[in-house]
Amino acid sequence: MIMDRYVRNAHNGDGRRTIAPMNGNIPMTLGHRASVDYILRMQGICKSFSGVPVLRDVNLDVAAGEVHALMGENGAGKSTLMKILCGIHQKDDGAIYLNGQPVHIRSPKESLRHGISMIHQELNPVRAMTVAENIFLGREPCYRFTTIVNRHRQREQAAVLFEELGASLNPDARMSSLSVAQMQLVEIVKAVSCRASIIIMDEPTSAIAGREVEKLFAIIRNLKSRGISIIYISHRLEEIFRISDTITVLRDGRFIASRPVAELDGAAVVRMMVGREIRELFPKAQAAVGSISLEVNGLARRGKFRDISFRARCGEVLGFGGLMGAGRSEVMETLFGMYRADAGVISIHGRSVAIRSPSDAIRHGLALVTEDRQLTGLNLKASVKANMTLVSLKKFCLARHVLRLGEESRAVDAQLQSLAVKARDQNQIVSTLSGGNQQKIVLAKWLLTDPQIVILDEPTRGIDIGAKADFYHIIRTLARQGRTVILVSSEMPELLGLCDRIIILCQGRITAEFTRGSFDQEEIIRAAIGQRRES
Amino acid sequence: MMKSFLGRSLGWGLVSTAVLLLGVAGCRRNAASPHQVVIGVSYQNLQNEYIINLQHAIRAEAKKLHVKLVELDARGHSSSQISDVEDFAAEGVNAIILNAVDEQGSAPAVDIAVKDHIPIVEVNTLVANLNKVDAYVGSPDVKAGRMEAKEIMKVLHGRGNIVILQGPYGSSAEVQRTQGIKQELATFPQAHIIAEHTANWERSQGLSVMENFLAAGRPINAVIAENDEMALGACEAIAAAHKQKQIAVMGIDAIPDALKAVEHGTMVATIYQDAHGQGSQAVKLAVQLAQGHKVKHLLYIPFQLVTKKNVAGFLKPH
Amino acid sequence: MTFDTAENKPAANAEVLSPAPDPPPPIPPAEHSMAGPEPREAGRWKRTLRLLFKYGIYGAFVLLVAGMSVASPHFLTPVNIVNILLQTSVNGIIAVGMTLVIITAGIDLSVGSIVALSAVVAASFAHPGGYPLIVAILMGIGVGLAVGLVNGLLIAKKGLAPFIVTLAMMTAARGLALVYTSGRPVINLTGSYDFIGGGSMLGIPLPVVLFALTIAVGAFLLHFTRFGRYVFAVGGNEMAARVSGINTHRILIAVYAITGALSGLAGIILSSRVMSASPAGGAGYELDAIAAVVIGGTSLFGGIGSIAGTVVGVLIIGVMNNGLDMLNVSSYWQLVAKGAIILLAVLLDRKSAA
Repeated sequence: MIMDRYVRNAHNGDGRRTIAPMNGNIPMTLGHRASVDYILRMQGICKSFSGVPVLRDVNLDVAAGEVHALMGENGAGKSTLMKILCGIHQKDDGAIYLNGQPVHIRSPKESLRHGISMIHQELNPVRAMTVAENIFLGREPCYRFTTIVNRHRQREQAAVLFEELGASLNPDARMSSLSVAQMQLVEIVKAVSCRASIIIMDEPTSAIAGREVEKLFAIIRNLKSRGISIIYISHRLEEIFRISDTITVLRDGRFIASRPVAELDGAAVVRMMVGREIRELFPKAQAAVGSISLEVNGLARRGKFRDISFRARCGEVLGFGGLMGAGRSEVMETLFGMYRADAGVISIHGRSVAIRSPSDAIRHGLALVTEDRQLTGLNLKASVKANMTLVSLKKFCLARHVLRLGEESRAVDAQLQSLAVKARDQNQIVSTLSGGNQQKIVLAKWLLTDPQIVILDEPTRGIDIGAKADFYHIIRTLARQGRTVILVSSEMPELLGLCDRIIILCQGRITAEFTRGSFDQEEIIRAAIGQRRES
Repeated sequence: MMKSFLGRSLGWGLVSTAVLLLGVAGCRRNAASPHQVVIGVSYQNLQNEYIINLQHAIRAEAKKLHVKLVELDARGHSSSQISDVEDFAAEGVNAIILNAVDEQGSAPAVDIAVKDHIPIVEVNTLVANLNKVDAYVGSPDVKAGRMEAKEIMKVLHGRGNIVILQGPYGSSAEVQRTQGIKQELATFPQAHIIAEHTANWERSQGLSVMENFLAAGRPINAVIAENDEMALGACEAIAAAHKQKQIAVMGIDAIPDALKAVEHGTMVATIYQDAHGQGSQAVKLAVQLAQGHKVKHLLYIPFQLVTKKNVAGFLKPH
Repeated sequence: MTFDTAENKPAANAEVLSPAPDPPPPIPPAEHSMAGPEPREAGRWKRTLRLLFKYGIYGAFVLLVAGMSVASPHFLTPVNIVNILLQTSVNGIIAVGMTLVIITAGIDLSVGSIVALSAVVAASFAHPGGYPLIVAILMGIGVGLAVGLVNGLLIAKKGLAPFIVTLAMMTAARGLALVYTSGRPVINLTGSYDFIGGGSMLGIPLPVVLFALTIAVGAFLLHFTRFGRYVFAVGGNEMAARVSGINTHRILIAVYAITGALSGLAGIILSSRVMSASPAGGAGYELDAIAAVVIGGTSLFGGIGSIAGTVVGVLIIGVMNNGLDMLNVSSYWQLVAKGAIILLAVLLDRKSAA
């Protein structure tokens, strides 16, 4: 909530997102779909939190058996709208119709009774229970006339549900032993077993990759064929275009447009989301590549990766691609001293170095923006300032220990400005910043150490498209300054658009290397899924 | 991760506990011979100096009579006292000496002994079902309270403002002593209790409670503390406020520091509770009961008033 | 924060309107009567209350002191203020250490037992004709430091949970104190030992001076040094701190060692004030210290807190003890009142933070 509000204020402040060229299209789009039978209509929904409007006159019409993508930047109001539908928040104004009947949804329980289920981004099952127990939690099948759970029937019913969806999962498996994708599947089965007619999926692919995404899509198609509607929230354009039938875009709490996918292309959607064209998502200018800054030979960690050898040069952006779990993050974390390597030699500027801890790595000019900024990147309870200077604190100390607060403050302000961070001031607590701005704080923290080698592990995950563009510019700038940038990314366009070279990992081994000019998407994907032998 | 931390530390704990238990069990069995009388002793709390003195007296008497002792410390919890007595019953001791934690809470311990036909002697403190106990050795706390109040009234000529520093609320000594003090003071219409407060037997708490009462500015003529530690704390506060001349202080227990204070005149008096007499009598009675003899049900060891006049006799080590 | 200003506006308007009834108001009369100025007194009250809410725990402290001053004319006298500071010095010194520990998302339950152990060890070196005073002091603080170091090492290096380690240490240190003294208080101390608890500097009792010094050093360490930043970082997100190159083990060991040493100092002061050291002393001090830290707005989940808050927390507890005694409130009711104040203080703090 706080985050939503903050982002909105920031946008109003700089004023550049108030242009809304798409508004004229709304009557047309509504008229276009007038004949369709809507299972859900949300009309004129308004909602404010402590006087700050978050949703203003928002509409959402979902047809039976369609996949309806809900899009918008972080803070556009998607999740608030869905929380109203789920009964977590109450709308201030507007109406909700289910199958043409007006309904009042006052609690999550009521929402469930109306056939609405939500698969949250962060799954939170009872980990100690089995799959079947989780599915039937709170409504276990019992022996007749008793309250004793009929485990046999519970298990059987669960198995049938999985079969109907064309998926296989052992109903007796403990939840704690499942992957994220499998947990998602359990949630979907649970929704189906509750006779849901509308299933909301919030960023369902944010934590899964590759084949698992394909499986999820197969299940979504299966649900569709049974007349179940899906409201699909995602930032990933390619997915949206593959799976959805209709796209509704929100921006700054306002309804922008709702149109069939066939009428749109990626650029149009981005335009609607941002309210402006992002012409140069990827800056083109390449830097002059210099001498070798980092050389890794035969790096290995048991069970994670082996035989990792590569070189990176000053002024180069070196990409690391591959599927989730290919070992990319593990290589970077080991390189940075978070884990001990079992074998391998690391040389920096031609000299072999021993890196046993992050502080060793920092001393040798390395920086690592980790994959999960909440888990390993930031102290969410601390201020922008405290986070930003954490690594380079010695620079701002008298006699190595006593803080020179004025100096620190000036350095932080300079970083806030040069990275265009939207923060109230440097004492703002970072948890109240938006994802993109949080990520910039992590980056700033490392830039203050003046690193020669910057490793970025999925730096743009979960941040909105505006902040992404900012990040791409920053990456190129770092390279232009003669630093080495190592970019780990699961987003193909990012790798293709930014990198001078791309190394592909599959199951803990390097399977291919591509140089700019010889980038080939199909080859890259083949290398990532291990269908290409090193030649 | 958390799980393994917990597991590991639990493991540590279990191992060390097991080692300790083995050690204790080993010690206990060491000197057991078939015909020796075994007496189980359950102390209320061996962190209390008076109870430690009592323990010394019991040990000395047991040695003299060639009796084997099994001693357990309830650490101030009547629940652990009950399980201690259950352990005695299970081990088949010949008699039990009980130093009750709590008048009501320790009563079930007596019932256990009675049910298993093990003779039980209550020492020092009271239990609610005293009639079921085979013998009681002690000095009634109500009496001590009355003695205290009486002596203070003698010093103040029957009138004045009085502060009572009490033991931990609900403990049998606190209840009985407060009752005694109030009974006696009630006979002096010109004596007023202007404040009563617990200082939990502790000198440091006696100090701060008294500091606060002094700061409140009402005239105080005497402090009746239910033990010496609290009385000595009050003395510190009074000395800091330079009111030694105006306020009379009294305590119970006759601990060495208090005896010195009485000698110097900073305390009016203290009351000697005969730990030695209580302990040795308790063992004697327990042995007689274990051998099947009949004994007197109640045995009072008298309190003795210690003032400047007779303090010299108590200052010598016993 | 937008929330705050929006709420404050009507009050500001009322204030502007009320003292100026003479010139014709520019607002139409109907509207004026609707939003009419509240009676002066009520307006001031509301403003005071809002101010109190804004400053949370500090407001609660001011309110408490004001209430006590009204209730007893002897409360706000120099003698009694010194009294309160004297009585809070022991808990205060421990609480400063506890603040550091809790900011690292830890807890130290062993401080009460360390107080007892340090007190009996220090006192045992302070018999007449024995060692110089400084030996007793160093022994007391040294024992506390050593116990704290063991706590820290087990927590940092072995990765054991602070609650469990310090719970075990609470029992073990108490046992050591009893073993060391055979359960009897250490008495018969040399006259010079009285200086620590009974002496004064420039007319201020030495325990108060030591308390003030501890606050100053603690606040400096926590808010103005690299070490302090690292303490917050470790408590806020230990993983992130480690990735940022911080030796988190060293920080954890240091905070427990500091707390142990401060508890040792507290034990010396306590035993010097009553000129005896009881192995059973200091029981429950850990809870007083934790209560003071929490009242002071430090989060038990770590990463958030301040020494200033803790000092106010300590003083709130001290003022409660002192004031209620002075007012001769029944000690049964005092317990109820103390519990209520703790809850109220924390609620106020939450409200001001929201």
